Amino acid sequence: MSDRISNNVNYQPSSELRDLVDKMIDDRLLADERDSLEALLESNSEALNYCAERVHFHAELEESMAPVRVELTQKRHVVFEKKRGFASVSRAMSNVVKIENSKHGKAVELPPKPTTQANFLSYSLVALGLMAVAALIFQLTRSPEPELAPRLAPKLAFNNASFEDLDINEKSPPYIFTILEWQDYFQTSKVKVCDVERATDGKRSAKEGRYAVIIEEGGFLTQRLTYDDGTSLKARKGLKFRISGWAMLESTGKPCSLSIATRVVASAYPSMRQVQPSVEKITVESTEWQKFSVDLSLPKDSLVMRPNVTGAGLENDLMDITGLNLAISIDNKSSVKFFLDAMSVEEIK
Amino acid sequence: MGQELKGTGISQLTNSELNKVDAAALDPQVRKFVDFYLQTRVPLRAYIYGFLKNSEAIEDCIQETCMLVWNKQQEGWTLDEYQKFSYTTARFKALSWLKKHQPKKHVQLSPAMMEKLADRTLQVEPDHRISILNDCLDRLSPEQRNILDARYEAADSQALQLLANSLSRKVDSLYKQLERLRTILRDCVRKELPYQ
Repeated sequence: MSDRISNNVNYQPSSELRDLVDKMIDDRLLADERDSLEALLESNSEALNYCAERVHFHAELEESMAPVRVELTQKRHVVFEKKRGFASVSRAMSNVVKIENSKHGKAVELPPKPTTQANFLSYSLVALGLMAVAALIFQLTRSPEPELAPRLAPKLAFNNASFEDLDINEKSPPYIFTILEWQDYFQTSKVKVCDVERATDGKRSAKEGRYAVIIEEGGFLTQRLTYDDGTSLKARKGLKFRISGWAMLESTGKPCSLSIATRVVASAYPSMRQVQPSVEKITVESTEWQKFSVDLSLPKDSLVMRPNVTGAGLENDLMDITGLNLAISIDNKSSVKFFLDAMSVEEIK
Repeated sequence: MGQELKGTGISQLTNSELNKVDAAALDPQVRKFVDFYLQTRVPLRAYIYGFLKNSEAIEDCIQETCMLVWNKQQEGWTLDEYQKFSYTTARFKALSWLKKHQPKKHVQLSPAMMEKLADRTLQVEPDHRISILNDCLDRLSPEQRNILDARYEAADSQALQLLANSLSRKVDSLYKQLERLRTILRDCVRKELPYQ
């Protein structure tokens, strides 16, 4: 705005002007007074400035004395659906803003704008299979790209690293089988999120938060690796990263062997085609939380590999995994159940 | 913290305090909108005052303007762009209210003068004096404060008349005192402003 009205302390309004302006503010002007005020404002720019300044001050006074209420509510939506035997979970976050009218107290709610469409996880093998096939076709038909440069930032990070993203109803059993972010490509009923204290009658607790997962024989978790900006980690020569976490046996007795592997799922449906470039084993021996850490790496020389799983109807041909999405898989290869919590991943040089 | 909302124990957030709210918990677009909304309330209220005098109608107009701006906002708007759109919207809302309710014509300025006054309020230098104003309000006597409360805080539009009745005074004399109180407060704020 040009020609701002500053506080002109030298201007002294007449008592008539002061009286009329305040009557206008308080909605008490009579017809002849309205005419007088209008004539004053019309003939004198300083009078109009005074009136505008007085109205502005009145607005400040009103604003200062009447409460202003803006209510911000963050809503998280988790929707579970099941169709043709395949479960899906979708999540979204929205912010709702309510602006209250200080005069009569009624609030208007501004329509929510979805802000985070966080990971629509479809476990439908059909959909994922089609996506994987499309990705494979894209990779096979595109021109070769120069090797990706190492990334310093953003950082690699697990989603739902401590399995706290979904709440377990206090009145329900202390388990749920939906494990957000950890059932990429496949799901199994042999892993569940567990409210550790409730499940163990208070004898044990989670390493972080309230929940941990419990993995039975043959159970597994898989997660596509992503950076904290949401971009996927792509396979490249010489890539190294470290997986850490905490594990604990469910009961005393035999130790448990778990394997942690890198995976590239080239297709999931109709036929499975999967490459496993690296794998490490860990032994869990204690019924107390035990920290583990493994380093996984991809070969420095070539990423042309033979799939370790090839479905019916597919040739077990060598394939180049360069630039394909990399996932991590944690498998229980023993007959002993164990808890897992507080997972982390970091890229190493 | 900001000023306590009377009798609630809840402090009213100032704009700067809003900035301290956990940034991660709010969507940046929502945060920006609320920040702009709070910064715009005073000039918007003053602008609407050029057209309307009814406090409830002004609040409704602010709410409706806010709703429309929310729906039409463009990503990347600056405060200036937000405010310009708000004033244009508020003008139409206020004129529409006048057309619909047709208040007593003799108390209104002419349409041309309304526009002139509303535009002139936008040229008032904002000097972020709400906190100083709160200090000045605290210096008033309980009797003075009661008059201001009746005019600005009470939900009942007849509150000043009721106060006059309870004090056995004429309401015109309370309005006269109200005019003086506004001048006292305005002078107090001017004295306290650091650059005066």
